[in-house]
Amino acid sequence: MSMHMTMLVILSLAWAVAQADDDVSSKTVIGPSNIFLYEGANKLKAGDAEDGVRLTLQGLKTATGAREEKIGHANLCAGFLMMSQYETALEHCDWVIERDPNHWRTYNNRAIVYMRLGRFEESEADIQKGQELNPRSENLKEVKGMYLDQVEPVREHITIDDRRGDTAPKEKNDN
Amino acid sequence: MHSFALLVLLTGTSALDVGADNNKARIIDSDSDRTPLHTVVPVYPFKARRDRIEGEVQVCFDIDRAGRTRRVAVRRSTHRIFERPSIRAVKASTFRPLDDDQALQAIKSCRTFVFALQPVEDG
Repeated sequence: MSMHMTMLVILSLAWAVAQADDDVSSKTVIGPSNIFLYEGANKLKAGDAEDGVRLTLQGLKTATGAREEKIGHANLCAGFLMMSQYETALEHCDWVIERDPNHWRTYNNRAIVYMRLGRFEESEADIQKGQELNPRSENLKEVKGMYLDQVEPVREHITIDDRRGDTAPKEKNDN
Repeated sequence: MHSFALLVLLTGTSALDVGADNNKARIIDSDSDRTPLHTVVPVYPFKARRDRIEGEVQVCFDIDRAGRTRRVAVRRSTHRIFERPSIRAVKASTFRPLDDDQALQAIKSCRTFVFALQPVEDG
């Protein structure tokens, strides 16, 4: 998988947000609720897909609640995608979208999975759905650009025309 | 895979010398009194290519005796995304210097850049 593609895979990071109480006198730091999911997400973010998937699978075994499960499966979709195991990635993406049809990050990732599988219509549908949910996502715009490069490739062409200045408006007709 | 790499490469900001990649650019001869010496082709903006945006920018400028461009400004454009690379390209371009016996014309020169995306034929 290209580095560029890796960058487009979005992780549902199980961040352990160190939250400080507003009260200066009593600060409480909250650690990650599932250390394996947290470390797995970090590994995936660093581009280490194998360790990321291994840790995430481990985290999924001890996941508590639907939110952690969703994070786990979303990150497994991303991880298996990074490992070019597209069918497995697709299963995890489907798992997330079945339970959360508004998870735009998973539409982003599944669109790439579909693209890799040559299922371009489904890829386009996921990009469209993702953009409906998050119209400002630069990631989705990039994935759409990638999709267009696959189905409607273009090449750039720049014409430099010195003839149309105000001071020299006369058009040449070469025909 | 080629297109993915291309996307990354196109994030570069420097203008290309037309001689380096002339299959991507076309220069229409000037009929102004100054002869282009070094014409720089702007980079197609990455986001414009990604979002399939095409457009046109006209940049007007003075040319000093030495052939350098001065007071470069956009006169009209169809999309702002193309303005910066067009200005950069004009600033980096040069014209043949005037001979001692040639008078400097007090008229502006203008250059139009047309940014287009052409379908790639299979095969």
